Amino acid sequence: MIPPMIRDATIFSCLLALLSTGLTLTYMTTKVPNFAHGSFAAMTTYITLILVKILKVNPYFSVGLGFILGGVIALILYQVILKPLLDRGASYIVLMIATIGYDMILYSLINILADYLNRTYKISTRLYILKSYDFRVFHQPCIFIVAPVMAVLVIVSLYFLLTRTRFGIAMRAAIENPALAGVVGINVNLTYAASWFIAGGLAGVAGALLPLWLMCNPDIGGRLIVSVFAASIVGGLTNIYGAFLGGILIGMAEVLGTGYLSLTVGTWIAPYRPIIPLVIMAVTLLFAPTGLTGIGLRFLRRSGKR
Amino acid sequence: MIEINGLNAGYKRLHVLYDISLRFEKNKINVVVGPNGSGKSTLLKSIFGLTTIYSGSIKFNGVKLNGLMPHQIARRGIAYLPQVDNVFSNLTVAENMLMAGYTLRREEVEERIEEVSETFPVIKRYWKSKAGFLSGGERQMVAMAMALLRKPKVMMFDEPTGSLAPKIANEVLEKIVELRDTLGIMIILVEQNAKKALEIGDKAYLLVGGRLVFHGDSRELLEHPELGKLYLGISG
Repeated sequence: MIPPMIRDATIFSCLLALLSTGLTLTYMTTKVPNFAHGSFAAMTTYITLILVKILKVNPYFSVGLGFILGGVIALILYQVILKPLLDRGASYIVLMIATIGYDMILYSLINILADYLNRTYKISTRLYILKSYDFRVFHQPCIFIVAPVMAVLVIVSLYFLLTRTRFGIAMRAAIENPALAGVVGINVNLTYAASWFIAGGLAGVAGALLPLWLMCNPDIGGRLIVSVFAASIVGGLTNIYGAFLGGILIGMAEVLGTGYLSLTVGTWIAPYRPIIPLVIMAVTLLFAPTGLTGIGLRFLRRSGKR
Repeated sequence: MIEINGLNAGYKRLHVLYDISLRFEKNKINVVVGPNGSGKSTLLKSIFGLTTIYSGSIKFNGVKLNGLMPHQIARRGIAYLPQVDNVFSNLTVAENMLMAGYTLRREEVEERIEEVSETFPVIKRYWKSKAGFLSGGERQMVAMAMALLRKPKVMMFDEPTGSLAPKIANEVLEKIVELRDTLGIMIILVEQNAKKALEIGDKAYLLVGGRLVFHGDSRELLEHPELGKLYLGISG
């Protein structure tokens, strides 16, 4: 029998890993901390709600749709807002504020959608959870199997995309040196747009799976973004594999830490859960600002394996 | 042939080049020299679509290049080797070569790599190494091999010998001569070491303060009684 706390931590950390991997990918391309990343996921939580409550179909159909919707939302942010600003030489502060603005737009749209669904279909669209619609596999909720499988599948696929395909290597090249990438004939804008689409898609997948385990609300993006940033920073912000590990680490620490503190100090501590990722983020920035990636590189250098 | 007429260019509001008109010739080493900050690198970047062009035109074999993106200019057969960061440090030499042939078909890339490795054997020696771990000279050779892979009609070098040991710098310049002699590529060479560059060059262009003050044969500039001394530190 797997303890519920371990199960919860596994699901949350895997979904967080999807989110932090995407956030890091966008940061690597445009060097903009994207504050709308949580809302990409929040938007797709409603796809699952619509599929389950209105269309009465398998909730896991939302994974593919979530990927596409998340990708499109991210692509709009990059292509319609950030790219024109970048072309005009906007500073990173301006770009960051632009992502906050886009986040506000998405948040408003999610609220409009929630109200529309609530009034038209008479379904609960705030503080809803779809746990009861999940299947059970080996006496466990299916999400407990799907979330880790999805996380592993995503990181392995990304590895193969970035190291084994011409377009993936072009993405790495354009991220490292956009000027030289242009020189060799790579369409840098296309590779960046693809990175944003993939990043948004990953957030969309995480969002589509979230309602099967977590209480969802239109503001879930804002609640998640602290953990997502913490995971990306712990991962080093410039390495998607580091971000993936950061997501697993922060997710585990957040759920297990809160659970352990609730048992020892009392349940009053539970609302202070976001402090855990913030503390880990602060400690990382103070003692290992390059995150897990930097620690890994230092270790490799010491052992002489460049 | 590259023909530049009345070019005024710079970076956003920073005007660097003033009314430049010149022609770079086929099958020749065209050397662009001048003191620091004279706009040599900006001239190359302007040809490659990396600056703001206020007025004037740049034509390659009669086709206007102004307004094209760097990747579109690269596809027209012009290769540009920047002064620094001219290889992808985090990619292996193999991946760098693959990226160099990004606009070609995969089979064609493999074929070209075999051909290019005859001129630059360094690429096969360090095939699986990350380019960032190579020495300056080796990196320069990889950068040249990358440019050559695309069978360019024009290769533009921005200070290829900068920060290299004299022996390695000579090897790099010898390779440039070899590219002209064996492949007939038009070379545009921006070089801080003006004397060495003019010695291997055919045509020379002297930029001072963003303006063209001399163009003619390299030897002529090398032996010019005043210009070399005044602007290039070449003692007669």
